[in-house]
Amino acid sequence: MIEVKVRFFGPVRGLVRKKEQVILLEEGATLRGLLEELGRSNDSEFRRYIVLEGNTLNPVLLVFLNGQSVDAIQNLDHSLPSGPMVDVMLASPIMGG
Amino acid sequence: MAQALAEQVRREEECQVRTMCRLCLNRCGILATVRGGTVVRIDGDPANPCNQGKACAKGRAGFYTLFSPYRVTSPLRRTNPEKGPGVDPGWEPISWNQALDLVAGKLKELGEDDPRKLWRVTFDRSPLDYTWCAAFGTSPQPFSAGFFCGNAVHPMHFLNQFAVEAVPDVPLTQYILSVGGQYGAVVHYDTMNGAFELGQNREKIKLVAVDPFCGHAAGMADEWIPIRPGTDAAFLLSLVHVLINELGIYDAPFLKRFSNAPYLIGADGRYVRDPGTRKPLMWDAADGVAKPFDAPVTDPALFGNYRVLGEEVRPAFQVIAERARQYTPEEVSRITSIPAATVRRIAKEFGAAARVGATITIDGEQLPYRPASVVWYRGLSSHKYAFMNGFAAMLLQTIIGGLDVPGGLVGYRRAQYRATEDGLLAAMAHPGRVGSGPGPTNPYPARTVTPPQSIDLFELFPVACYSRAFAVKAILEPEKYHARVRPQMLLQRRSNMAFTGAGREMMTELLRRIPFIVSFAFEIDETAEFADIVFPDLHYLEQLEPVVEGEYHTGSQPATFYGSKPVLKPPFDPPWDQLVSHDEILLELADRAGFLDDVYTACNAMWRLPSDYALQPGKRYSYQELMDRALKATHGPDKGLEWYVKDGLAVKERSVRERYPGAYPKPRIHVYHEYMIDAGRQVEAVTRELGIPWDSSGYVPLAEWRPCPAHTPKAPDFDLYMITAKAPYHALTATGSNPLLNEVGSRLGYNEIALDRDTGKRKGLKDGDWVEVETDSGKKARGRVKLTSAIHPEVTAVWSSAGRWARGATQDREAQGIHFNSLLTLDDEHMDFVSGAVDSCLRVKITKLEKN
Repeated sequence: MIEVKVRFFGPVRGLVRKKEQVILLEEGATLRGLLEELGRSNDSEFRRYIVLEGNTLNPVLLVFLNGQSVDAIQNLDHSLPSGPMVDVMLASPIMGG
Repeated sequence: MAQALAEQVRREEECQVRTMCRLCLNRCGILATVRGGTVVRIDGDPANPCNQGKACAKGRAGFYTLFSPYRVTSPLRRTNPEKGPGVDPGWEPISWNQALDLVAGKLKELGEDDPRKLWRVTFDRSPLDYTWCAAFGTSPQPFSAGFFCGNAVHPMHFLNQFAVEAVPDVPLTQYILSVGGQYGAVVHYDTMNGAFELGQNREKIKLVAVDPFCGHAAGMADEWIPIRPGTDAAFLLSLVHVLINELGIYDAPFLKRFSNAPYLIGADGRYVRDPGTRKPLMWDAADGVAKPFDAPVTDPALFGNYRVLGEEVRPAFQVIAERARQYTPEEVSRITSIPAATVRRIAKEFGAAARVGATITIDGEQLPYRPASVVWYRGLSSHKYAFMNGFAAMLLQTIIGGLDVPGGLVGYRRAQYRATEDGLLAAMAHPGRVGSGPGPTNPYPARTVTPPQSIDLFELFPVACYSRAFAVKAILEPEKYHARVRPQMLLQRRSNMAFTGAGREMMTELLRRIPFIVSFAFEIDETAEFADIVFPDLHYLEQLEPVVEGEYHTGSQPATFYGSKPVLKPPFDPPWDQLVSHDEILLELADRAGFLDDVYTACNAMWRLPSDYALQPGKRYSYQELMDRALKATHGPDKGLEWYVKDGLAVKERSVRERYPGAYPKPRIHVYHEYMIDAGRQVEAVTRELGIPWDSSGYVPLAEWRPCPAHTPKAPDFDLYMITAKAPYHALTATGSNPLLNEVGSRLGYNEIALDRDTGKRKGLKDGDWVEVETDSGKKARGRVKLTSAIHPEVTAVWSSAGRWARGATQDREAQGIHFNSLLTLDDEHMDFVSGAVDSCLRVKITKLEKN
């Protein structure tokens, strides 16, 4: 099992109503698996915001794995990094102009 | 380090400090000359390629406001609970400690409730803005900048150039068609470089300005073409029609290989897909069969009608060509008032200048050469159908293959990109370096539509880059729009939303609805007048703030890093030994409200700090230490704060591939916007489910022209259009209290209403007459008329930042000129439900007054 600590930044924190959440996943779990689990363990508003039906992930979501930003859509089916604790940051969009 | 600089400035009789102007988006590199402890002169920095040693009149006069008698010099608390324009707030000076505790207490409350209820509004990005907001649980927004700004600009450049902005490739370009913008003349990202290069290359560049008003950019053009307001898309699509259907000028090899022009379109407007792989199909004219887009296709057809899978289908380019036939120069002449012969001539000139098929050798590499570009801005964004206007402009540039190649339209502030399953380019939101967050989001693939979660209902705008005007609707009518998040606190700095938002009464009501407002204010402007707590803000000559993106460039220029430095100390007692950035106050607030460690975590991730420079939770770092780490992480261990203060300018030449990525293979770009069909259906489904009244009719896959509300006046006597224009001697509202610039503006008619000379005479008006302007929505204003031949005969215009009423801007006198935005109406009829833009083209009548 791997332990994943998910920290919520930006407006997505208000959506889940918490700053962080720890999730246990099987070894080799993917980012898709993590987001599906997050969707299951949070309410429907959050599930609808992430929208992980088929291959679709809401592209507004920013994902950082162990502090490094990743293109969530391209990395959906890649295994999460191994290690005693995987640190995931989820942030929602910031619009410039 | 900042103290060392201040000491040096104090010690030396005269010295020059390299820093950055912060009055407008151009952010010129400047040299501030300090004599006797004060700034006496500002010049452009000749070593900085962003402005090539030039500084405009606003920048050179920038130090005059250092000594403004209206400056806020201590924290203030409001004692009068009543709020409104001109209402005395009853300011009471309080200590820094009191102010910090009061605001931190409110932040703590909101953080425990729902952090999204903090509305952070700023137009001037400081290094910590994004990370601080992410750590708290909200996001910063420029607010009124999204009402009528890049709505028709950013999505288009993101879509086809993976860039936020784009400019003509001066000096290699030979033809610039400026539509609804003032490239090289007014506040913008590339103004000084553009002005310099245009001046240097005047003989070989033809500049054509298409605008209802012959403003300062059009005044310097080779040709000014007056156009009826809000008809730009019709003009642009007519150029597309003439180029494709009459002249046969388009870059066929480029369109076949690098765009979705050959993708087959079915009767339902969608791609025709391979039944097995679901890949879009193209018609191979060589083999006479349809093939997936990524199969070996000898000759992808751009034209024709075919039968595929039992269905009548056409290549996307055929659909575009057929649609463009609606926009014949004769028909478009009726819409735009531009003679048909002029439309044909401009199309011919543009097409010839584009030199389709030509190449140029740069640094030993042979590249496509397309020395023609169309450049557009607010004139296209500030309309009911802004998104379609942007589509039309981008289509014109795309069909000549003139994107990101020498001489063409070159993007900057770029994102990375990827190829989607349909083989199309998708720009990616990307965390930046020091302080910069992800840029405006890409329209493709369209974001999933969900019930509103943001203050501005952004979830209902799957292709827009922002939707800030809809925050006004959501705050004033939360039930109607299912607005879940109602702001309880506004933290506002350098975004004068009370003045720059639409409709003075509406903005007043909006600000009254927010229970607690905190302003960082240099002077009490129209918005700070509503504040409950005011912190003194710094002048840009007192700040230490490196440029937030890490490096900066426009078009094909070198990448340049620089920033602002504290040339002088502020004229007030700081909360600690010195104050060089408002970010220091944000850090202190985060500490007192208990989320400083989260700020560090956000900095580590968003600034991509390697382990050597990463910030540790539990430790405390000064602002200057943060900047030192961020600078070293970005520029190398020898380029920390000490280097920044001593020199702080790094110029890096970019490779040919970096400057002209359009010349190299990459995923296909859009001429046909199939994704809009599904985006519109999603919006329709979600809004219908929630019972939100919404207009999703603007989600169409092809550019088209649709009339604005002003094209149908509510009564025949409203016989004029009214528009606004930027002047070169004011930077939005940032310079409104500079007495020197106000005098220049006053002498040049800044406070007057421009009206065509013959139109004015027909109405019995002469220069200086007082008139009443009434919109067809019943709003009124008074002003003095200036008759001119430099405006379309059906149009009257006022300058964009006239009519200020804040004390500093009026110097305690009566407001001068007409405040245009007060005349705007923020209702469904005047808002674009696709781009979030507000229509700012009014229908008015003018009546002569016997006396003011």
